[in-house]
Amino acid sequence: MTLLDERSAGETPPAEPPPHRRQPTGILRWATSSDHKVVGAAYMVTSIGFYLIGGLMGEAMRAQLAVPDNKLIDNGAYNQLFTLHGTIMLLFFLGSFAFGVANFIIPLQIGARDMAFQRLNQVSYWLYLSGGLVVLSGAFTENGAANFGWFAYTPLSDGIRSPGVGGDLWIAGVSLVGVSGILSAVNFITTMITMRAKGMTMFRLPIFCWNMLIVSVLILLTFPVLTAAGVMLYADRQFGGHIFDATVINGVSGVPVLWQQLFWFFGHPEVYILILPYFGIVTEVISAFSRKPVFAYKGFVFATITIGALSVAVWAHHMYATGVVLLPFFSALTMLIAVPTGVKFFNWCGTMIGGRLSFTASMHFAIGFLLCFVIGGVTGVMLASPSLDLQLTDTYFVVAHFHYVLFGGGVFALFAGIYYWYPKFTGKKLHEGWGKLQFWLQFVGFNMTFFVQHLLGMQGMPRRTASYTAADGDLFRYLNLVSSIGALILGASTLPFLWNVYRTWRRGEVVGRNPWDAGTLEWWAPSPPPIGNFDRALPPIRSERPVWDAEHPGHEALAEQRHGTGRADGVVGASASKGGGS
Amino acid sequence: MKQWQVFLWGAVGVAALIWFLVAYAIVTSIRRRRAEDRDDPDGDIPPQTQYRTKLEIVYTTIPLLIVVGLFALAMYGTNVLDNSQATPDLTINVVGFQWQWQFNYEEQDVTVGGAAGVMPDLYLPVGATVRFNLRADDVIHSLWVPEFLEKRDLIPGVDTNSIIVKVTKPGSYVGRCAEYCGLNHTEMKFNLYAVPRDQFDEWVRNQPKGRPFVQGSFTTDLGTRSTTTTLTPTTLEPAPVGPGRGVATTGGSR
Ligand code: HEM
Ligand SMILES: [Cu+2]
Ligand SMILES: [Cu+2]
Repeated sequence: MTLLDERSAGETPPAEPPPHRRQPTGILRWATSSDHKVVGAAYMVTSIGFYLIGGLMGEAMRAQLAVPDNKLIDNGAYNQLFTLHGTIMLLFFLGSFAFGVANFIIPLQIGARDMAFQRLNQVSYWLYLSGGLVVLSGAFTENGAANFGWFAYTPLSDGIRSPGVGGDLWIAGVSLVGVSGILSAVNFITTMITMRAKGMTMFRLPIFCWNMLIVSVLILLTFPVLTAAGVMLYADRQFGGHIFDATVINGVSGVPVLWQQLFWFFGHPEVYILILPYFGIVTEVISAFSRKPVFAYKGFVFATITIGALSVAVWAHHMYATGVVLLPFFSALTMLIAVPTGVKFFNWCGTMIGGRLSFTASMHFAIGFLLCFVIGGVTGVMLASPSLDLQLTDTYFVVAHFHYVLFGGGVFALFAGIYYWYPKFTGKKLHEGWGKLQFWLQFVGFNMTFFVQHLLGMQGMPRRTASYTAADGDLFRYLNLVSSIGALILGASTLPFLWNVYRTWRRGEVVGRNPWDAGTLEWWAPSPPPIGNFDRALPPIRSERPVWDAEHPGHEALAEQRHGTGRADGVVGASASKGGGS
Repeated sequence: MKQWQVFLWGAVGVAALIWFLVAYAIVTSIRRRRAEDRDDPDGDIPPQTQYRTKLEIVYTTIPLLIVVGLFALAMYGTNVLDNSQATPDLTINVVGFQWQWQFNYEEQDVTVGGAAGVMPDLYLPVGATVRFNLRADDVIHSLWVPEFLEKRDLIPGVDTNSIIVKVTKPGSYVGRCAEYCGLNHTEMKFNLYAVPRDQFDEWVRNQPKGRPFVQGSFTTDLGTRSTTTTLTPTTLEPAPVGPGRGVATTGGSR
């Protein structure tokens, strides 16, 4: 490893990489390159593929639920659908896409040439891809894919209740992606700790990097627990273990609830592992398109750390109805998480207020994120109260809540990130008009699909039901119909996106290094960056926005309380060259 | 105001505040843009404000106080729900299994269950305080009648879960399994009829006594665990319909 050399490479241009005899192109390059950008792109493309598959499953379920007593999909198939949909969306799409962005962007943002462990990075990607395919392959086995829900509660998921290879493939696939995540986390942490360019102190690290750092720590704390629990479940299923069932042998028995404790010890932090990267993305986007530094940067970092710390101590809020957990403790800590999350909302609003907003497609999605995610946040506080949760848990209220968090938060921020970084990824800008059309379809469709589900839950519709009857009343009928129509619109929003990618590939607008006039280091590199990333000396790094500081001298972030004039003293009117960009 | 309404309006209020702040940022930015100096290439750069410590303290402390208040309220509400001290007039042992319910009226020695495609009928006298002891032997289920305002899991190996409800209104309701329990989880429902006391008594009188209840097989050993079928309790004929049935209306009381 040449970590220490690279660290000091900061202010001198990195040497040209030795010219390769023949650089493979196309699919071969994708399969063989260990360049962090290629691995990152592979992650992103693959996870969008899984998103489309998982999305189609969601559409199928909504089609089944559109009208009462529908016979389109039978119970067995429906159960497989929600299991696969949940598993794919959580473990093979949202988190993995964030890994893709992180692989591509982190080395650029910290001024490094690549990730710390490049081969390992490739290994993670292949483990991830195979994990996803293994889970999906269950659908082609005799008994079908796993059908015990994405949290696989025991004893339902044991060998007696859920025989069939599908369940074993599910465990195998989930363990593979678990190992992949652990390797990536090690890689991210090492890269960010050891490979930052000269001058890039921890408090000058862009927010996206900070969030990925906390995410990586959470992964190291929780993924091993998932993988270990998976092995135990496999032992129960295949080797006659009785860890998770209540069978009494010689006076002692296993404990079904133990699985829930282990699973949610992973599962709750997992939702922060999924959402924190997107907090990071939205922060970068909002700062860039408000032409302002992130408001209360340090407060934001501390809020992220607090969320990370609290998130490992709240897992049993998924288990209130089991009657075996200490309600006040888990309720208190869960509600406390609302505080640092609320702080972040004020950071985002504070960044925008007083800013010069440009309403690009990316910014549309970021604003959509703010508007939708807050709803998922406040319903989360409602569910944290045991008295409300005992009524609402396992109903459509919860389905609405987590889609507001994962889709309204995660997916909106994801597209904000795609539109923002696409020029860096490919050197071309996605079309803004198609992007905005996609945004409006997605925003309307999303809220139509999932807002009414809050009401359905309060009306008494349990989650994971393959159908409902006409006797359940008109409210069920109409709200479900609205939700299904919304899902169609939501599904349709993917089309402008795919078209946009295609047309940009054919004839997209070619852009320079820094088309958005943004501030972090990735915008100093050419678009797309060559192998080795930077073709010129890095600017001096004096804040978390080195490129901004270099391109707009005299417009550095103001010290405390010095607001209102718009100018630091001295350099009024000095306009710097806008280094190569636009 | 009921507790859940406090939470609901609190949620609406917070969401409204964020929506307002976002709208405020958008509107003021558009206004300011009109007043920009177009000759200056950096004329569109707003003040680069970053830290306002006092404001940060305020927007951290206020949510903290709100959360403390909500927590106190939540604990109060949870204690009200958890009225395990109340002495029940009626004790019903509930067993859930894939994918049916069985109810055993302990003092009355009456057991009701369902059959394939037939939901069991549970009769309760209005005015009574009823305790449900919840058990399962195969997989986890959850007893939920939306009008009870709470649900509780039935967990193999856990024999201590119960809920207590006071029946206040006559009517017919639908109870469901709320924890996914396999293939026909969707169909795992029962009818609940809350009827006046005298009708309830008559219904009890018309029920056969001492029917087998699955509870006997609770202490399982390896032998009875090894296959799925040994766990299925004797399926009961649907309970003979008493005169109480007339109280029920179709479609539930929602
Ligand atoms: C295309 C848009 C989507 C539609 C139409 C959709 C629809 C659905 C439906 C109908 C269910 C089953 C509800 C039930 O029967 O309980 C469901 C469950 C779920 N969805 Fe989505 N969904 C979409 C996107 C997403 C995304 C983007 C994520 C996460 C990133 C997600 C995560 C989940 C999870 C975790 C479950 C629970 C699965 C389980 O119960 O095991 N969904 N979704
Ligand atoms: Cu959680
Ligand atoms: Cu069930």
